[in-house]
Amino acid sequence: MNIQCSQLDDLLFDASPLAMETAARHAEGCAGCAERLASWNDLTSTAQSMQVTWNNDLLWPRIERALRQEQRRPTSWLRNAAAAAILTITLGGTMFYALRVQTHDAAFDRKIIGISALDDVERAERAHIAAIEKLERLAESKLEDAESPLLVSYKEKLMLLDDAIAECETNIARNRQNAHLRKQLLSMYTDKQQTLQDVLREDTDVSTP
Amino acid sequence: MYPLRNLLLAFLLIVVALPLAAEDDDDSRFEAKYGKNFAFSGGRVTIDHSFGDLVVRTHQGNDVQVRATIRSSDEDLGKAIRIVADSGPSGVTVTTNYPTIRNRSGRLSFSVDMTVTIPANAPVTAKNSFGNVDARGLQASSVLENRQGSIVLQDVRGSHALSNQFGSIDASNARGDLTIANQNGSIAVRNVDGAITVANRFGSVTVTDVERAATIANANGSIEAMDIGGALKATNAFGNIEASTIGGPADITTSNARVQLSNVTGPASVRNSFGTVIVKAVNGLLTVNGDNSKVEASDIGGNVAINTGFGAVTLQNVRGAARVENSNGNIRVSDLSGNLVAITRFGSVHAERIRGAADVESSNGGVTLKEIGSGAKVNTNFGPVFIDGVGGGVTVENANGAISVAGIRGNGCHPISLRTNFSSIKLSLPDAAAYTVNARTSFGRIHTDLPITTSGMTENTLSGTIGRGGCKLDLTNANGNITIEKD
Repeated sequence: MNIQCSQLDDLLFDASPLAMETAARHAEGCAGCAERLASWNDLTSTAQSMQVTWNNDLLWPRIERALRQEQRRPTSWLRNAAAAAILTITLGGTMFYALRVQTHDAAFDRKIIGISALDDVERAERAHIAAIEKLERLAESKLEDAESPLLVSYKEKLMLLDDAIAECETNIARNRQNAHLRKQLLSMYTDKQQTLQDVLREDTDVSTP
Repeated sequence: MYPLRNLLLAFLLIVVALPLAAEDDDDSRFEAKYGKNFAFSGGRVTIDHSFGDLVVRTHQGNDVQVRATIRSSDEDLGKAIRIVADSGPSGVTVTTNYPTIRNRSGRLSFSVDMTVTIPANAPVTAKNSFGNVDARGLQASSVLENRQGSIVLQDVRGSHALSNQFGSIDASNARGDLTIANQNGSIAVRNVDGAITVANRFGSVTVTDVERAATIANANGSIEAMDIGGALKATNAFGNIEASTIGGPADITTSNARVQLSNVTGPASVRNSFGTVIVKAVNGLLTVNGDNSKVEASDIGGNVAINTGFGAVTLQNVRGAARVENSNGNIRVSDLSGNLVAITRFGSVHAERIRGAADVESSNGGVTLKEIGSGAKVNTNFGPVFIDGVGGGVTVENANGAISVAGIRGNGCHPISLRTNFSSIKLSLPDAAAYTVNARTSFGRIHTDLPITTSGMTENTLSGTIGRGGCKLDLTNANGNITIEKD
């Protein structure tokens, strides 16, 4: 096999016996290439003379362990899935428990309102009472001199409301957080407020068609 | 570094935190369940409950099942609440007993929700206060009473009596009669295969789809009644009444409110004062007594009688006669099959397309009559009278208003008598008219376009005949002209 000088480096890097033999044969007829081949051989022999090896007792067991771990790795997804499932079940169970507790508490709250909510309710009631007192002052003279049947009817309604409010308040005194009583009282306050507003709106002379 | 471990720790924290977060600020809550069954061997189921909702249901068994949830803000108080139930020959009684509470701290609160499931055919009396009542599926009579809570009755048979004080009442799908009373809460009734009697004071009443008669009384709340198979009697003091599609007669009373009534199979009677009355499509007679009410009525199958004070009256399309009296309001009538009598003092009268006769009395209002099938009679003082198109005799007595009559139609004698004092008289007659004329005025002129064979004439009087004469024509004025024209 004949080669060109430019191909010598490729043969040297190949370093296979056939490549080295081809390079040597070419060098026999080429002085430049013979010199380069000789330098390469020197370098190779020098490098080989510099090689140092040593034995390490721990290295191989570590490699084996790593290999074993590597072999076990295909089953790790199963472990992750199991962990995820456990976490999901735990989380789901916790959420279910928490929701149940909350639902239970909400049902309780619908019947017996909490102290913090009670403050809000009583604040709303106070606002209603203040508004009602103001309206009552404005409507007082009109109701006292009620002559038209409609105003008399409003007066009756207000008396009925006052009786019911008093009854409700008596029961609230011994059952303060009972949600139904509070709701009922608020509703009657609203009704009374509305009725007083109707009284004030009502023209004293109802003869206008 | 250890993601899985961190994740687990996070979840553990959530596991611990969530229930804690769900805890309320009050940790002294007490809740207990009660459940017992009692044999029912006849009699009645009687329930006396308070401070909580009461649910009544039915089943096919023979026992009474009592279930309750007792809730309290205090454990001792909660444990002291008793549900006492007993079974005997007279039936089953269930009572909720609360201990005497001296609530100085104001922190004690309680509530008991109860569900009682009874045999379907067992009659029941259920009382509650400060809680709602919900009864469904009852197949025998019941008495439901409540104070300050709502009542719901649904899908029942038999007669039922419901009463409440301050809460709504909602009854639906009942095959039987219902008697409902409330003080200050709304009443809603739907789909009743029987008769109903409803009484309220200050809440609204809505009744829909009742097979038989409905009697509704209210004081100061609205009434709505739709699709009533039998008679409707609705009485109110100050609330609006709206009723439609009534299978029998309708009797409506209210004041200071609006009445709307439509599609009544039988006769209708409406009494109102100071409110508008609107009536449409009544097959029978219509009577409206509206003191100071505006009245609008149309499509009436029978005779109509309307009496009001200061509101306008509009009446349309009546297949009978009509009598309308109004003190100080206008009267407008059209398309009447029978006779019309219209009486007003200070309002105008406008009537057209009246098949029968028109008889109008007015003091100070103008009168316009058009297309009157039979005779027309008008008596007024200060308003003008216009009559155009009349198929009978005409008599107009006026004092200070003009009179104009035209369009005398039909064969035969239609006597005409027109009288006024301080205005003009104008009469248009057809060519073929035959009248014996007697016209006179004191300070006016008499002018005629029709040929008159005179039998006597002065400056202010005219006697004679038009055509062949025979039919009486009297025209009397004091201070105005008299004109006879060709029609």
